[in-house]
Amino acid sequence: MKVWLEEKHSLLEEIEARSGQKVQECYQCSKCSGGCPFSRVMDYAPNSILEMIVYGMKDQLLSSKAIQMCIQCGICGAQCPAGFEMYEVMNVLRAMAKEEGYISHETKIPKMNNIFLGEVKNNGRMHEVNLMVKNMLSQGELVRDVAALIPIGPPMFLKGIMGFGDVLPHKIKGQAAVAKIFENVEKMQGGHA
Amino acid sequence: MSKKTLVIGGGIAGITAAQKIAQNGGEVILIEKEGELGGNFAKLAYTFPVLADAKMIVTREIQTAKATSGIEILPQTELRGVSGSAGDFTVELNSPSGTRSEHVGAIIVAAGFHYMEPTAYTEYSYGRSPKVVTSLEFEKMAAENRLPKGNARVVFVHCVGSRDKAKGYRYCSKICCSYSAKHAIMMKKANPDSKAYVFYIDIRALGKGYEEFIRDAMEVYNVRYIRGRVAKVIESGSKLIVRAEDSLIGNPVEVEADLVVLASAMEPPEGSRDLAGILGIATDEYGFFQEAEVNVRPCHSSKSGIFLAGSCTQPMEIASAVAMGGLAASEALTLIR
Repeated sequence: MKVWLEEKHSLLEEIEARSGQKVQECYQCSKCSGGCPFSRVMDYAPNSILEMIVYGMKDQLLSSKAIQMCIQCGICGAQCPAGFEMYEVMNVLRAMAKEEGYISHETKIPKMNNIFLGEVKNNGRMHEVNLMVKNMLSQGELVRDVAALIPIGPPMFLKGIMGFGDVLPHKIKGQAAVAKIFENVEKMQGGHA
Repeated sequence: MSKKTLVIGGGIAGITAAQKIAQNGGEVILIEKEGELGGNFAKLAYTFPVLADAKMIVTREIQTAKATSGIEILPQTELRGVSGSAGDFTVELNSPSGTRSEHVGAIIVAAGFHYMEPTAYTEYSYGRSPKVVTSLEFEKMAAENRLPKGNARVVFVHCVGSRDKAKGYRYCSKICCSYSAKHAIMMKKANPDSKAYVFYIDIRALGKGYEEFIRDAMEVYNVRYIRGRVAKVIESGSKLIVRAEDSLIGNPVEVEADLVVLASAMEPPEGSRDLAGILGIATDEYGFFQEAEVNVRPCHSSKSGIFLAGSCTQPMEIASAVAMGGLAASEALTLIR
């Protein structure tokens, strides 16, 4: 892939403004990628993502798997010699991808994120069973997923980790307030939660 | 020529300054807070970029200083007070035998440096695993013939405390690239069955013979250089797992190691700000002594008659410390003549 050095750094500026991080502070030492628990399954390592931002490679970045795979654990930031919070940049990239309608090469994680947020919006809290069932139905690998669940699910009931009362969702008292938060965020982001 | 010069610090810069003043007819009081002369140089087994016997060289220089008339050497001695001005200082020296007062015309500060203790680097298991050591500890292991035997893997980690504004210093310590290469070569020479890995960010080895020295580590001694700052050192049974990203291929890399050597930063000598306070001279943001002009007057402190030499001003290799010791001596001579 050929890349060009752009005259205007609009992507860089936008990401810096939204993440509060100075991309130019990066030493390119790649310690973030070395510490990242997911860099081995990412299509671009975190340090490469910073370089791509400098190059303005927006399409590749916003459709990448890497930005969806970041779990926001913060190891990158905790270890960074420049004190740079890489996960904040990942967060901004993920939000931009959603706002601008990019289809990620990684499809499962965005689907699960949407289901997760839907649960929180509807019940005021996350409900594990609903999340699991809805996620399994949406990912298109039901047989495999159910098979994977068999050795895990029943023992959780037997050992008392889950009770039958956990099967159906419970709404929290302040559910309306949570729904309001979602409404406000959607307004702020122009309809994208 | 009646006035003496006080030289603070008996490392290679201070020894050189004392020698040059005495060889030109001046009188020197050389104080050293430790019991022996030699400073950090005396803790090394070999020099770089030429692998010469460090102990032999530093012993020779100490002997020369001791044999030169006009140098009074005071071990276990520290400066307690200074008054007066250039050409006419009164200094108060404290040693186990008591305190004494001396009149000196000039003062040379050659207080050396300190290797940072990388205790903040918990991700490297430093202080937790005895198999994670600093470069200085590696020197000691080499001198005591305690380097890993047999088919051992040794990993060298650059920039521990240097180029790290979060946990260390913003500056580059300048010598770590070279001494890590030296250590890797020492490892391969002591144990040709061992494997040596160096994790680097950039290689900064400037000067005559330095680039060649690094290339020899790679080409002649087969030291494997991997581009990426180490992220984690994990204890795993009797081994260590070193984890990093090889940023040239964009892939994580893991090395199972028997010994991990951290190239810890050079930092100002302990108590540098206190010493600067006694002398009434300026230090920089890190605590190194501040030179009047970086390029043309590197030996001048912020106060007339007090000169600086060696690594108490900035991270520096031996050759530069010697050169600066000589320059500081010539500055002092102009005052005491």
